[in-house]
This record gives sequence, structure tokens and C-alpha cells, in this order.
Amino acid sequence: MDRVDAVIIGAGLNGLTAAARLGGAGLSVLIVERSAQVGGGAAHGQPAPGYSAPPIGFSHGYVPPELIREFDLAREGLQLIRREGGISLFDDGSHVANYANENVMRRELARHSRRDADAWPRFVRDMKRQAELIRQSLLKAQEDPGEWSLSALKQMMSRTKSVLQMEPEALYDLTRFWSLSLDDFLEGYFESPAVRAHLAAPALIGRALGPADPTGAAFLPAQWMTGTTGGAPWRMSPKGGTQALADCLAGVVQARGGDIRFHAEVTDIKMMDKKAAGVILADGEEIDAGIVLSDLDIKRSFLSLFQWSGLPDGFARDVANVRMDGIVARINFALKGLPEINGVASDNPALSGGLMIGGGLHAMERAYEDWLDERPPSAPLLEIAIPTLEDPSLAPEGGHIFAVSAQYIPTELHDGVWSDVRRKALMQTVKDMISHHAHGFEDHIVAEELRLPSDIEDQAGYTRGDPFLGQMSLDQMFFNRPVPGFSGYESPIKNFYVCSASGHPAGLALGAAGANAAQSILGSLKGRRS
Amino acid sequence: MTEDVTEHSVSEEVTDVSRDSPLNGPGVPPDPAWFEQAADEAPYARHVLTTPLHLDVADESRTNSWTAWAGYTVADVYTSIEQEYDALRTRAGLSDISPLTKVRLSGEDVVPYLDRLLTRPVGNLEPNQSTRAVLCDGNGCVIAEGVLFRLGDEEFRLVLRSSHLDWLRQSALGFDIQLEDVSGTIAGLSLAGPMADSVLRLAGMEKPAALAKHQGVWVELGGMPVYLSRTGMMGGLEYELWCDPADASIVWRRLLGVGQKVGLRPVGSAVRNIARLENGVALEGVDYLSAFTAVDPSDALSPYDLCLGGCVDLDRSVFNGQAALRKTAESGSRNALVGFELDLADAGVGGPICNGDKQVGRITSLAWSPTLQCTIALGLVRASALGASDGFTIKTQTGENIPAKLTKRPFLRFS
Repeated sequence: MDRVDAVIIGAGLNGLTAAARLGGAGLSVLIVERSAQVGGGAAHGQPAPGYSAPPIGFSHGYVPPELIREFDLAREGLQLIRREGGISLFDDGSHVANYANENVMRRELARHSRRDADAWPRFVRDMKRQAELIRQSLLKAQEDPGEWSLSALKQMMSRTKSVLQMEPEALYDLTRFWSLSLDDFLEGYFESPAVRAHLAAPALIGRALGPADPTGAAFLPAQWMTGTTGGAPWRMSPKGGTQALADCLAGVVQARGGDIRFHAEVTDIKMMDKKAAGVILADGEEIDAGIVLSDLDIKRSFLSLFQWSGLPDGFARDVANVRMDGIVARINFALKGLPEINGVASDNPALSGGLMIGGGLHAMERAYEDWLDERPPSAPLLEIAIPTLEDPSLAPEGGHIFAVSAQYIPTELHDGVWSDVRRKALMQTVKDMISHHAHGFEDHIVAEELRLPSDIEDQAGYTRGDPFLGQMSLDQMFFNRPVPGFSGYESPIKNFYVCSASGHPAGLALGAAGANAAQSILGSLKGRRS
Repeated sequence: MTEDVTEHSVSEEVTDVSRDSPLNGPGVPPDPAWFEQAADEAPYARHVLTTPLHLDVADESRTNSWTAWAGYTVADVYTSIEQEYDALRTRAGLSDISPLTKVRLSGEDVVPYLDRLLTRPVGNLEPNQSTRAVLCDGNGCVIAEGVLFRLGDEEFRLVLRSSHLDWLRQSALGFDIQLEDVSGTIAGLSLAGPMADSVLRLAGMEKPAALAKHQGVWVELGGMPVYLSRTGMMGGLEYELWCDPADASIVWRRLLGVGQKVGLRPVGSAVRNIARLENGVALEGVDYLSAFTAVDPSDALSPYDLCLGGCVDLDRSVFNGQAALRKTAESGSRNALVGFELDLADAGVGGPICNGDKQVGRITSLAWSPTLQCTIALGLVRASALGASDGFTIKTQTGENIPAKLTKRPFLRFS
């Protein structure tokens, strides 16, 4: 094998965007992928013949428009579908739905509280303010403030300046966002417990947090990056699912001269003069490269590809200390038809946004406590995407997919293993919860698949099954991500970079971490040459 | 055979009235069930609602030109802007203003509550008097402005262009008051123009002219109880009529019926917008953003920015935004919403305001005034730029720089 400029471990979305950017800059790139498919966690499987769903990843995600333009993804065939709505179902038969139209959204809230309907514009205003701040940071490599480089200083200065220039009120707002729990934060706007639970639930999925835990509010605005016209925000998802996005990116990589090798598992990093110089595959083959990028999570990248003794003092410990928590089990139900939902008319446009079942904030808190105690929760929080409503191509005619993210599922149990009996019991709990709101749900099931956090770890390689490859909490975000002292994508090993979602901005935007990593590599290459 | 067909079509007409067009023609009251909102109607069943006068309004519309206002469908133009404007300024015009938010405030503490809520004390307001009301948030930025009616010693009605129950309730903490959104139970009509008195007299009212500005009175119109107030935003002689939604259609038809003699015409939003601009009135959501919708905090404006300083009384007990407003009053406001006159027949939708080469502000509203025979505009400019009294230009969409004359509001004065 000839030497390449950059070898990328893993063909996940971030590996692909990194490869596309580096390829676009004229570097020769090679992606080595363990499986037979591009996409990594975003790759689709077939829960039943004719049905297509990602067994591990979420079925939606924010694709930054900057990347769509840079890679010309729209002309490459990528179509984004707008999924409006989302309905929270409660045990008493009531529901709260999202509507993109402001008048309709306010009327929906008024069903629960007139006052909450009028608090909505203030909530939207604050969400938009914070979402814009987050959005602006997505495609910026986060420079390490401790590193005294000119660019790090510049970024630190501009950040300090923007904080110093803030009106006191805006600073209070920022502090509220980064410190309050979801429950406390939402109480500042809404009096109806149902409305609060409805708005809190999507911000919890994937995060090892309960609704009453501090800092929970910080991720509420993440959903507001896509856009809104004054009503609830909508979600964009690629037509054909996240697999279509991966395929599209793979096409871009190849068009830019990049290569993808399948069934190639990397077991070691080839070192030369204490610098990364390539990768060693499971079959012993060596691939030489000027730069090595890892689309694996931070722990796998360093703790399984390197000799620990070769890592700088304390670095292995810092990496080991990165909090990665499995909390979501992914369940796909292939259905032969759409079951009727109690109290929700089948023509309700909010159905496209999926369902949320988890009871009120108290019930979520109880489920969270079960998770802390490493018990299977008696009532997990269920986020159910129904991608087939807006994209029927994902199922045979008339068929539908319920892509369930079950939150508060422990990776390990305090009293044993996830035995078959316990897996079946969990599935039954989930089915019962859905059946409570959709009678006859089980009669619609053609096939079902369950991925526990431990399955996700085994199959996708996310340590402990953490869907965000490192929990997104304030201490692990921005320049603290992935490891304090090694913000961004560079590592203590020269020529070795982490381009996975373990880096900023994590799961906030699909493919952004990879593109950012490539950007910082190109930046330092330019620096070296000049 | 022919008879059969005739008979058949006749019988269908009789039995299937509900399938008739809502535009039944003059004299035939349309079936209100057509647009009425059912109690169990899903929130998403329609994006905009209809007012209690919708069918009567639709009946008068010759252009089928509509616009949305606060989530309701209202007529934009009934016949033509020229005809409607002419009626409004030389005879009389009638409009549907039902989408306004109306809140009933009552209780022992209602006066201290309103003193806390509004930028001006209301204790001196006599029953059946009304005043302009400005609501500020804690930063002294305007949330909304509207009209406050005192209906009794302990009863008020606040009429706003947008709904702010959340803020009204938040401000009510510690006050013994009742707060009730009565928007759905009160329909509103606006009757304006020099012949408005004649219309009311023809409709059976005895001495409408006795009503002073800002005053209100209960009257009977066509057998229906109506609260008549001399209020409005268009300048000149104008009345607003508030009544039960079920009676609104009868009041509307009665006024239009008797008013034909003196040239009364229904007037849509387009002309109302010109008229309020001539009167120099700025609107929330058009000329400025409510503090609750301003995503960029610098878009939230103080009453001083909007030249509503006259509505602020600082030296009294604490009220919402007082501390911040005091600071602004001392340091001077950053912006000013001012009027401009332009020698241009059609200036498009407006654009940046410049003085010399420098941009000093932007146009927020602009319209051709048929009375003044020029284009009038409201613009938000930096207060520092107002040192210059002339030299202002407005850049149009076609790139022309049109001289703009700084003009005192209101543009149009009525004797």
C-alpha cells in the first residue's frame, strides 16, 4: 500500500466530513472502516425486509447548512425533510403537541394554560438568542485557552469581549441557561406541568441527567438551531435517513480522490519517533500516513490504539476520566400500519414529529433514579420517531417504523447482567407503555430489535454506549471537550487527531466535529509550511 | 321533465341552505355556523381564526383581499384604497377591530396594580374615561401599548394589540385583583370620519356629539347594548363600539344600512394603516418589537425611544421598569422614532435613513398620504443624528437617495 497523506479510522459521518475536507484541500486520504458500510452509528439496518432504520443512531440530526454548501450536498442528491411537530402523551389521556405555526402553537398551549400561551413568545425569544450563540460556535474549532497560541488567544479574547460587552441582563440569562435544571428553568415560563414536561423531554434524551439536575437547561436551545417561525422548532432529517447522508458524503470523498476500505479494522497506531505515522490493521497490514485521524470516541482512540506507556503523564488518566455514560437503548419496531393514538386524530400534523411518552417530570425523575441505582426503569422516557410518516421510502407500502430511544436504561445492572429474560421484560415494558396510548399496538408489529447501551458499545464501539461519545455537560463542552488541556482535535501524540463527536460540538450537529478537525489540521499544515 | 329539474333544484335550495355560499347577497343574513369555531375544534384545524363579523365583512368585500391580524383574518381592502380612504377622511368608515385583546381587571387593588403595571398612574381616571397605556418590562423596554378604560370604581378594561396575560399575571403577585381575558366575549367596531356623528344619529342615538374625547358611554343601537367610546388611532372624529359578539353582526348591518345615506363605507386594514400613520401612531410588531419578541436585545426599545415620554410619570411609587426608565431619562434615549415626509409618489417599502454618507436609522412604516399629497414615514433613527434638522435622505430599493424632511407627528392635524 502506498503512503497516503491522511488515514482516517472509521467511516462515520465525522470521518467522512473530515476526509471530504482534507480531500478537498488536495490531500490524499484513505478511510479504513471495520464494517462493510459507511455511516458508523448513522448507518441503517433492516429490522425487517423492506424496512430501513438506524439500529444505533438517532433518526434525525442537525446538518449545518455551511457543510451542505461546502460539499454541495444538495446537488449530490441530499434532500432534507422538514419534520414538524412532536406530541407528548400523558397517562391521563391528555397530550401537548408542537406546531410550527405560532397561532396554532399558542392555541395548543392555551388548552393547558392561557397564561402559558402568552409566555410562549418570551420563551421563543430566549431560545432563539441562545440557539444563535450555540450555532455560531458549531463550526469553530475550539482553541485551547491554556495554549497561548495566537489563534487561541484571539478566540479567548473575542469570547471574553463578547461576554464583557453583554448587557447584565444577557449575562444573567446566560448564567441561567448554563446552571439551572430543566424543571427550574421552565418554571420561569410555564405553569402547566404537562407543558413543562413536553418541552423538557427532548432535551434529556441521551444525557445522563434528570429533569431536576442542575445544568439541564443548557441543551434546550439546541433544538432551536434549525429554525422556527414563531411556533415550535422543526427537525430536519435526510430523505432516506442518516444512511443517505453518509452515502452522499462518501460520494463527495470519492469525488475528491479519497478512498474507502471496508472490512479493515485498525488495531494499533504505527509510531515513528514518537509521532503517529500510520495504522496497523488486524491482519497485520501497515498503512503509512502523514496524519492519522480517529473517528472513534476519545477512550477508544487513545486507550485501545496506543500503548498506555507511550502517552504523556496523566493523559491516560484524564482520558479515562472523561464521563461517558450509556443511557439510551434503541428499539426499532417495524409496523405493518400506523396504530391509532388515543386522543390524537390521525390527521394531526404534529404526528410527523413523533411521540414522547414518559409521564410528567416526576416520572422522568423516578426513571432517572432507577438509572442511577442501575435498575431497569419501571417507566423509561420514550422518544418515538416515526420517520416513515414524511419519508415512506423507509418502509414497504403502508408500513411504518417506530424508532424508539428509551432513556434511562443503565449500561450495567446492580444485580447481574442484562439476561434474555430482562431484555424481554424491558421490551414488554416499552410495548405496554406504547399500547397504553395506542391500543392494539402489538398487533401491528412485524419485527422488533433492541440495542441496549452495552449492545451499542459492542456494535458501534461507543464506550459504555454513550450516544454523544462523551457526555455533553458544561465541563465537557467547548474548550473542555474532549479533555481539558487538549481541546479541539489535536492530541499529545503528534500527527494524531480525534475527529469524532468526542470533540466539539459533539452531537449538536452531524458531521461538524469531523469538518472542524480537518480545518484545524489544514490550519496547522499551513503553519508548518510557512 | 323540465319541471322535474326545476322542482328538484328548488327543493335542494330549501333543504341545503347550509351549502349555500356564505355570500348570500344583501339582506340575507349569512349562517354564522359557517365560520364559527366549534368548542372541540383541534388547534391545527386552521391557522387563522375568523372574527364574529367575518361573514358580514366577507359580504362587503369586493376584492377578496384579506390579511392576518393577531391570528385572525381581517379585510385588507373592501373595494379600493382610494374609495375607502375618501370615505374615511371626508365621510365615514366602518371597520372590524375584534382581534384586539381585551382584558377585564377588577378588584380591591386594581388601581395600585395598574399603577404598578403602567408607566402612568391611573387613579385620576374617572369612570367611563380612557387613557393611553404603556407596559414596560423590568428593563424599561416597551412590551405593549394600548388603551385603558375605566368602567367603574374597581373595574377596568385594557385593550391591547397582542396578548400578554403571562406578564399581567406576573405583575399581579401580591395584589388582590381579578384578571380575565374577555377578548372572546367582546366584539369591536371602529366608526371614524367627519360624518360619524351623523351615522350614529341615523342609527338612533340621540346626542353622540356630547361625548368628549377619551370618554365612553353605554348606548342602545338597534336594540343592542353597545359601549361607545370616543377612542381610536386614526385621528379626527372617531368612535369605537364594543358589544356582544352575537350582537355584532346586527350593529354592523344597522350602521352600514343607515350610513349609506351619508356615504359610510367599510374600511379595511390597508386604509386604517395609512390613517394611523397620518396620525403618527406607531404600532407594536410593525414599527417596533415588543420586548418579549426582540431576539436581539438592542431591538427592545424604551418609551423614550418611541417618543412616548409623555406617557411616563417617573416621580411616584414603584412601577415596572421605573429604575431603568429613570436612568434612560437622565442619560437620554439612544433612538428616536420620528416622522419624515418624502417627495415621492411611490417609495416602495422603505429602507435605510442616511444623513450625508452615514446611515443613521431605518424606515419602519411608510405610506402615501392622499390628503398631504406626499409620502409619510416613521423611522427609527439614532438620537445623536437628530442634532441635524435636515440633510436626511432615504435610500429606496432602486438605489435612489430621496430627500426626507423631518416632520413633527402627527402628520395630519384635525380641527
